[in-house]
Amino acid sequence: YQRRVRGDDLSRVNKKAICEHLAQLQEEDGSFSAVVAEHAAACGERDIRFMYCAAVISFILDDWSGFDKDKAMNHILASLSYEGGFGQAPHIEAHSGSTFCAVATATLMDRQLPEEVREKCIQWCAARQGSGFQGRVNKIEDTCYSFWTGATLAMLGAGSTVIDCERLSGFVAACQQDMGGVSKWRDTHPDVLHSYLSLAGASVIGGASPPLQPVCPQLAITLRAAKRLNDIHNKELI
Amino acid sequence: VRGTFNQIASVELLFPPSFELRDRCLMSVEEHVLYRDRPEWADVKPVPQDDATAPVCPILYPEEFVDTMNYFRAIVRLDERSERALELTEDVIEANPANYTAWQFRRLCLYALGSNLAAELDGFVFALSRDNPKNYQMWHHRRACAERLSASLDDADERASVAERELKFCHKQVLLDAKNLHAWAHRQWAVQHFGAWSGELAFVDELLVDDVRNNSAWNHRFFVVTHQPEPPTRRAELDYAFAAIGKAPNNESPWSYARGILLSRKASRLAGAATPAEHAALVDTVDADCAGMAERAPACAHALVLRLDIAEWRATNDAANSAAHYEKALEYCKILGEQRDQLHANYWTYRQRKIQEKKGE
Repeated sequence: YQRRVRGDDLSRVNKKAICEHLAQLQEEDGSFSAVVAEHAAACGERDIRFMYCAAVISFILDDWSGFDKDKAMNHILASLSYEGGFGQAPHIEAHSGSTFCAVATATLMDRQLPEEVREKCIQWCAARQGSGFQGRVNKIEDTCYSFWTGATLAMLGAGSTVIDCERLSGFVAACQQDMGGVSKWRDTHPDVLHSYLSLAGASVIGGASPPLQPVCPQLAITLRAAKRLNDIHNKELI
Repeated sequence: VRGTFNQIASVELLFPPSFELRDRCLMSVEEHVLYRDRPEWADVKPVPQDDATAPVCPILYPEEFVDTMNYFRAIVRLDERSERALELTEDVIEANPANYTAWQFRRLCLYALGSNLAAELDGFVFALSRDNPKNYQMWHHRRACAERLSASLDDADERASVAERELKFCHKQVLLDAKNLHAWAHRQWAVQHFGAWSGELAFVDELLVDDVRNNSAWNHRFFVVTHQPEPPTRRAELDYAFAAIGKAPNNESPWSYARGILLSRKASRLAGAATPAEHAALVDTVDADCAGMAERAPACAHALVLRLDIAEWRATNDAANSAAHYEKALEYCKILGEQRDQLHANYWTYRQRKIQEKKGE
């Protein structure tokens, strides 16, 4: 047989070293630090983003040996705010970015959040819409939350059904700039991050015109790229 | 330093120049001497950045930056935790405040030299935070140094002053940006680590007077009341929330807070309403308050949303009458979707469907 390699197949990556390092970064409570602590009594810089990064790394490498899923789930649930969304760490204010990290990690781990948690999160996410989405209660709307919130809703199985797609599209369209690109708010400078997340958000929510490449919400890449990754995992043959 | 709603807290007032950062623009070479030209650094062989053989999109670093980083890489490789290394980390951090390696190595130097960590917190870190209020590494550095400083002190009063410094710093940052997530997270850590609960509710009060819609302040209140040694009663906190609601009925924050205090398991530590019967009675009172509010403020959706959550809670906790509770819940969804909260009509349709599913079971 022949193996058709389309680009890098990750075979040169030292998976063992990476997974061993990840294991050093995970604390007893399931959270992840960014770097190994400088001494025993210290703790590295920590927040939920790094748990998400570790989950994506494990998923890409198709190797979860450096990632304790049970502990991670404990940390996810501990980071749930009374508000219904998730914070950067336990007791921190609910925020769309950290909510995405929490739900995406669970999705990548192929673990279900309890139904009550899912439903409250859907409610919290849907309530973030004015025209566009805000990242926290009583904060200003920002185009990037189109993805953080949109993707979260998609992963929770609610998707576009619980929001006003037209209103969201209108907000994003108003944030497009004459020079090209999308900015976080109206009348400010566009940047790559907000342009990307506006498009990815529009794709995940659906109904975009002209139609966009479908996006894998938990990986924030196109389904086309996600399929490529799947092929690598399955070592596809022709 | 007190801030009031109409007073714009100026950076200059809050961050007086007590410590001069060698504020150099990297393009100017007036004062800065390259490390390679300093005799006291002659013994160190600079280490260039390893960009492999064919870097994609190489960055055109200014000469001064390259020089600083070459010597930083050398010092890290030598693991030399000296005064000159400490000074070098200042340059590296000023050039790129997000360089977490530089911050960590700086800490290793501070610890090895037995440096005065209080001076570090009041000096370099304080000065840098002026222009970098949302820099993750800066906040982590404060936490690491404060923890280490506190652990080295035997005297309770001295440790209390460490706590005081961090709370004051958070206060200044919050005056600059009332919703700075880093500042609030740091404050939570400091309060919990040092057991410095006593001033927190008053602090929240002050901020909510400035802006009753400050959700970060509400979240902090929830953290404090559910963790402080002597928790208040649920009733007291509900009264607090409803007082704020009275000022601004469409403010989501106190409604979310009230729902958390009333129904969340996280609030189980609060005093009062200990038995299921007492709790249910409290829920009844709040439901009645919501009904009154819904009537007085027809534009207010939140009152009905809380009644909806209460109805669903009752369906579970008063299972014998669940059908009636679900009927009520469906009624609220309908009113919300059709009248009071048309903006989120799609969600209320979804919610109705979910309730129907539960009702069917």
